[in-house]
Amino acid sequence: MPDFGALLRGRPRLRAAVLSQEAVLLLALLALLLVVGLINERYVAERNLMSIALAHAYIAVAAIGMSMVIITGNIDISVGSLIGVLAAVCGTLANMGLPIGLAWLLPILLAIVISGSLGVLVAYCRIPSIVASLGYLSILKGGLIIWTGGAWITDLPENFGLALQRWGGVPAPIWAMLILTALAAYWMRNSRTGRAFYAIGGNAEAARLAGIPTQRMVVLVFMLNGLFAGIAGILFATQLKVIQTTVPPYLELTIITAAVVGGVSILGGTGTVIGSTLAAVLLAAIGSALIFIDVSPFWLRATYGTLILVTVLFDLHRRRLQQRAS
Amino acid sequence: MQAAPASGAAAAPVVRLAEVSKSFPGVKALAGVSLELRPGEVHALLGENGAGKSTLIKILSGVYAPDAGQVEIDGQAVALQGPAHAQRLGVATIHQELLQFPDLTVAENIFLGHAPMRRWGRIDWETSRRRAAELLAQLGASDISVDAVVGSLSVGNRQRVEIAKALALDARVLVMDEPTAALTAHDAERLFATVRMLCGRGVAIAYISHRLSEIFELADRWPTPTTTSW
Repeated sequence: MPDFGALLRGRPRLRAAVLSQEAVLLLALLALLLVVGLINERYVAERNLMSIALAHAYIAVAAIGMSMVIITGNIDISVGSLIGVLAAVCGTLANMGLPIGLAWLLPILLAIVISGSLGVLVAYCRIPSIVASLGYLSILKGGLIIWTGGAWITDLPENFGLALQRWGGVPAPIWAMLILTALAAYWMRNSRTGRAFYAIGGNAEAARLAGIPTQRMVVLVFMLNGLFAGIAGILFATQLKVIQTTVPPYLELTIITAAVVGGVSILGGTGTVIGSTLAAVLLAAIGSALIFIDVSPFWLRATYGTLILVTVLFDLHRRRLQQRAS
Repeated sequence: MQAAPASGAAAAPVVRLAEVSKSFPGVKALAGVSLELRPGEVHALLGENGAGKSTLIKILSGVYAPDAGQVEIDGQAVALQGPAHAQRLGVATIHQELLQFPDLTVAENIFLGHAPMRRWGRIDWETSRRRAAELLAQLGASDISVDAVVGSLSVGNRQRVEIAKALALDARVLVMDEPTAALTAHDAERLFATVRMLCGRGVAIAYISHRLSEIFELADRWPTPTTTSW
């Protein structure tokens, strides 16, 4: 290890590339594909690889917004309930005979408004985000059941299935995941606002003294979270011919898991959306692998939980090393 | 004790506080404090804990507005609208606890909030890194990599990054709050050399410390009971 360090000293870009969370995740994903593929080669058939990516494409999209929120040092545990509500709104609007484009667009705008209002509570009313979003979780989840009575939305228009479309042989949600991840990663890396999110999560007081309008930035990051949750909600709503009007269990937890395992520090200030997308795909690949190696799917949550703990332990260890070095 | 620099006593003050007062519920933190910071001079501020030093620093850096009295910069009365406003007017502050972004690089810490930009709102990283390296070189701190993460640096080096940040802002006034508190003797010596170098360039320095030996080593003037209330 010391030799390794000496080799990399003074070459921070190389060091960053070798040790980055993104590289670790990519290697983990490839290792998983290799090992499980050797046990059962149907696991790495194109058809299964596509279905792995498809299964968590909307999770990855939602995890982009979640990552941004966590990078600012906040969290949103209401996003799963929000996606459930948006799916129901989307189906209801389509069945009311609205032009299909509007039925897709209006829920996204609604999501931006709802999440933005959560951001106002966090930024201006100083309610810790975990508590404020817990309130939203209950309101949205309860409201959805009161409104729909739990009935499924059926008889959707023919052209409703946005997530069922394929462009160039690749399902639309996978395109959405790839394009949005690339755009968001570039924006987070190179825009003033993106860097301000990192600054706020790293040291809110220092960010304020550097002239960053921290309260407005927190509202903005929640609005962006709403935008990505909205897109994820539409992809989720349009993937089947019916919409189940119950919130998918553990949805927000899977999204947060993707962000955290993706290397977004739960303490704020670090992480990338490339990491969270890779982690979202890795989580789906693990779920699929359990089926192919004939392990009960009940192990899935425990596996996710273990991954979170391992990642956070490594993050804390890294921070301790950094402090000792100084 | 050092002799006043040649430009010293004659130069007009960059910053002048006139009869500045600030109260918080139940506490009078500052009562009628006056102070002048002149180019090329180190102005020492002494005081016990609770003497109002941190309130004074926050008024100088634009965090608080005074209840009474006047803040003048270049002879003009100004109402500072916040820390960013003070920085734009050339007043940079290095807080004791070094308010930095530990996960971001040296270059980014130096330029955060005022990074050079390219077209379409993109940060110009190449220019940031090059200018950060130039600023560090001016401080004789070329040993600090502009790509290093600030959290991995020693306290002394983190402070040099903060001084580079003040230079990047073209600060004409530098407020330093207990700058040697967490430094090794070697780092403190290096800091004194930097302070003298900045003075030589005509920067006005407000140096807050409770260590008298430092004050005698560096300062050109220090307040007496007739000019301040502590």
